[in-house]
Amino acid sequence: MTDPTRLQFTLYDSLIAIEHQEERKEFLNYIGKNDPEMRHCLERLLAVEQEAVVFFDIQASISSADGEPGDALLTEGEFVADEVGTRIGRYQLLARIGEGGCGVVYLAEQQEPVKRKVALKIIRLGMDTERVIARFEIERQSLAMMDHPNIARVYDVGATRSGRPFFVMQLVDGEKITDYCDAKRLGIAQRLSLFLRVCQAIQHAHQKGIIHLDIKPSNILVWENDGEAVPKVIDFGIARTTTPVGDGENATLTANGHFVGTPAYMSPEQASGKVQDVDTRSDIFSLGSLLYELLAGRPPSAAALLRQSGADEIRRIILETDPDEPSAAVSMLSASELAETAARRGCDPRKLAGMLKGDLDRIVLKALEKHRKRRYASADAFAADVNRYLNCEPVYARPSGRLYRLGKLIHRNKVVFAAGTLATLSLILGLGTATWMVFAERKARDSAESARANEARLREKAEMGTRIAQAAVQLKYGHLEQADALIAGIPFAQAQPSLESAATFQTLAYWHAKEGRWPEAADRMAALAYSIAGVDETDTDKVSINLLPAVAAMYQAGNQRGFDDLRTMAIARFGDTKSSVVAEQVLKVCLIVPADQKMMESLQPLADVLARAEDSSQNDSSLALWRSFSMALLEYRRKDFNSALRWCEECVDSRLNPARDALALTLRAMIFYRQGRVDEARRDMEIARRACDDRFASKLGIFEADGTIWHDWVNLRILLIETEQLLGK
Amino acid sequence: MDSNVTRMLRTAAESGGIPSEDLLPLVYDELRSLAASRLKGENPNQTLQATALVHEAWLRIAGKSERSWNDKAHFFRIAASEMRRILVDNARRKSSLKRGQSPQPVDIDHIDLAETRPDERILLIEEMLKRLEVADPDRARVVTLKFFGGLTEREIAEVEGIAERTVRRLWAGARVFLFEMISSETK
Repeated sequence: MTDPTRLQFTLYDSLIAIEHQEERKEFLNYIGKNDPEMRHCLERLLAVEQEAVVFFDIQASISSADGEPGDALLTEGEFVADEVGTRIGRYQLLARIGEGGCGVVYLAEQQEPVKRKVALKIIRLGMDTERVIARFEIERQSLAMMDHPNIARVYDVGATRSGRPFFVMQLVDGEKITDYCDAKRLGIAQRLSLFLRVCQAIQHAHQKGIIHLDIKPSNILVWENDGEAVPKVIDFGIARTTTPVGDGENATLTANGHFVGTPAYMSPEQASGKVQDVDTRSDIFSLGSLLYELLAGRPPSAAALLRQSGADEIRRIILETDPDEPSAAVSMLSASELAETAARRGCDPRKLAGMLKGDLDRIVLKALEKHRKRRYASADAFAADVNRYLNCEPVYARPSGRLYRLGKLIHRNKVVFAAGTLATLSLILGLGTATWMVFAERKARDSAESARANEARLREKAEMGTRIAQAAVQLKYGHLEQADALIAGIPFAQAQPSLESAATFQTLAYWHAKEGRWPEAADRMAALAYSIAGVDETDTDKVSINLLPAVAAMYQAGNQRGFDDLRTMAIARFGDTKSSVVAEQVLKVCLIVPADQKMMESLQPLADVLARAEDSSQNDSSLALWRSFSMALLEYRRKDFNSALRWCEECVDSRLNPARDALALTLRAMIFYRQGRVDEARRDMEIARRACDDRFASKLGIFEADGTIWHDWVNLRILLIETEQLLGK
Repeated sequence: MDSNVTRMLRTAAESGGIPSEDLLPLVYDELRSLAASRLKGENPNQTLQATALVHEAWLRIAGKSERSWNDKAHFFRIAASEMRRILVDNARRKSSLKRGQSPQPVDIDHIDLAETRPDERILLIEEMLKRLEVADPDRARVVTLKFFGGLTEREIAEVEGIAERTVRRLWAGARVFLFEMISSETK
C-alpha cells in the first residue's frame, strides 16, 4: 500500500463506525462493486487492527542503552541561542569568538566581584548539566591548584538558563600553535623548543592530578610577550568533566554517536572507551600527535581519513593502524605540498625528511605507542628526550636492537611508572582527604554568608551533597564499594533531593539487596524514597511507589525505627493526595502492620480517596485488584470485618499475581478467624504459608519470573507472622 | 485538567500571555503525569526516568527564549510535540548506539515487525507519522498528543475542540493506517 488516501481514511472510519458485522459486510460489498481494490485494501486494514494495537502498545523506555537512570536524557538538545548581549549569571556575553565540536566560546565580561574579560564556553552537547557540574565540583579544587604560566585558568562553571553547562576561563588572546608556527615560519628546532614548554605545562598539571584528555593544536594558543612566544594550554578540566563516563563502548561517544574529543589526537584507550585505562599517559599520546603535526604538517592518523569514517572505522584506525614515521609522511607529500610544508619550516624541501628521520621519528613514535606502558612515562620524560635531541645527545627512544640500552630504559621507566601510577590513583579517586576538607570548608563559608543562623545545618547539608556527588562519580567508574562508603554515613532522611542522588541511592540499594545485605539496602532504599520525594514534588504514584521497597527492606533488615520513620514520612508527604494509586500504595505501606488510633486518623483522607476511586480500575485490572486488597486491609484494621471480607473476595483468587493472591488469603484468614470461622481461617493461612515458604526457599530476585515484585513477598511475610500469632500456630 | 491553570491562562491571554517561568509551577503536575503515562510499569528505573523526561521536556519548552502562553491547548500541543522529539531523539540515539555507529535511519527493508524493540518502533512510527502529517494533519495531531504526549482521550478532545468519540475514531484509524504503512514498507 502506498500512503493511504483521504478516501481510504474516510471509508475506513465509516466502516469501523458500523457495529454489526452483517452491515459491515454489506458496506464492503457495496464498495467492492465499484472499486474492488478499495475493498481489498479496507479488508486488509481490518485484518491488521489487532496487530496494530499491539504494535503501538509500547512502554517507552527512555533509559540509555545500558539502562542507567541518570543517563536517560543525554539527548542531543538544540542549542538554545544564548545570544551576545545576554547575561549569564554574573557574566555578560560580548562577542562570539569561536565554535568548536563541543561548544561555543564567547568573549564575556565578568561583572563581580571584579570586572574582567573572560572566555566563556557553553557546552553544546546534550549533557546532563547537573552531572557535569557535580563532576566539575570534584575537580575544581585541583584545577584551582594549577598555577602555571602556560596554563589558562578555569575560573568557574555553571548552568545557563536553558540548562546547558558553561565554563569560564582565563581569556587568552593567541593563535593556534600550528598556525602560529607556520605563520612565523619556525624551524624544527624552534618548534621543538615551543613544544617543550607545552610539555612542562602538561607535566605541571599531571603533578596536580589533572589530565587534559583533549590536547590538540586548537587547545594550545600561542601569544607573544616581548617578542617571546608563549604557549598557553586551554580547556583544562573540560574534556574530563564533560566526557560521558560509562562502561565500555559508549564512553567516547556523545549523544548523537560522535566522538568526544578529537579522533586525530586521541589515544587508543580513549577511543576504545576504556575509561579505567585512561590516565596521564593518554595525554602523552596526544602530545605525540601534536609534535607529529608540528613536524610533519599533519596529524598522525590522517585527519581527512578520519573525518569521512564512521565511529567504528575511526576507532579501528586509532586502535590498529600504526602511523607512518613523520619523515615518511613528509616524503609521501606531492612536490608542491612538500615545498609548502618545508617553506613553513624555513628549510630546504630536499632536507626536511632527512631532518626528521632517525631520532625525531623515534621520539614521536614512542609517544604514539598503542600500549601506554611503552610510551614515555611522563611529559617530563618526553621533554627530556626532545631536549637530548636538541643538545645532540643520544635519545632514549632507540630501536630495540640495543639490548643494554633497552634494559636501562625499562629499569628507568619502572621508577617513573611507580610515580605515574600514584598520581593516577589519586586522580581517579580524586577524593583525597585534604581536598575534601578544603571543599567542605568552602561550602561552609558560602553557606555562612547566605544564612548565618542556619550555618551548621547548611554546612551539614552541603557536605551530604558533596559526598553524594562524589559517590555518583565513583559509580560511573563502576566503583560500587567506594561509592557506598561515601554515602554510608548519611541518614536517609537527609538524602539530597536530586535526580543524581536518587539514581545513586537506587543503584547502591539494589546492589546491596542483591547481595542480601538488608540493613544497607534498606537505608539506601529509604534514601531513594526521600530523595525522589523531594526532587519530584508532584502527586504521582511514580514517586510514592518508592516507599514500597523501602518499607519492605526496613522490615527485612529488622529496623523498626526506620520502618516507623518511613511511614510517618509517607503520610506527611502524600497524606493529601488526590490519586487513588498513590493512596493505595501509602495505605498498604502503613497498614501492613497494625496501626494505632492516631495513624488510623491521619490515614482517613487517603482512605476516602481510595474509597471514591473508580476510574483507576477502568483500564488496569492490576490496579483495581490492588485497590481491593488495600481496601480490605483498611477495613480489617478498622475492624469492619464484613466489609473487609467483601473487598478481600474480589482479589483473593485473581490468579494474576501469586503474591497478591497469597496476601489476600492471609488477610482473609485473619478475617475468618475474627468471624469465628476458624477452620477456613487455618486453611487459608496454610496455603499462604506454603506459597511464602516456596518463594523464600530460593533467593528472591528483584523481579521474579512470574512478574511479582520482591517487596510484595516481603509484605506477605509480614502479614503472615501477624496471622500466625493471631491464630496461635 | 486543572481549572486553576485554565483560569490563569485565560487571564494571561487578556494581558498578553504568561511567561514560561510563571507557568511551570502551574503545569508541572500535568506534565509530570503525561510523562508518567508514557512510562508505565514498575521498573524501578522508570520512576526516575519519568522525572527526567519531564525536566527535559520543560527545558525544551521553556528554554525557547521568551515564549508565552495564551491557552492551555497551545501549551499541551507544544508539550506533546516536545515529548515526541525527546522520545524520537532518544530512540534514535539508542538504536545507533546499539549498532555502534553514527545515527542512521532504521533500515526498514530488513526488519521483522514482531521483533522490533520499543525504540525501533518509535522510529518507524515517527517515520510514517511524518507522512501522515501531510495526508491527514488532524489525525496526525491526535497521534502526537496521544502516543507521544500521553494525553487522555478526554484531554485531547478538549485541546482539539472535538468530541471524545471523534478522538477515539481518529486514533483507532491512525494506528491501523500507520501500522499498515510500516508493514508494507518493511516487507
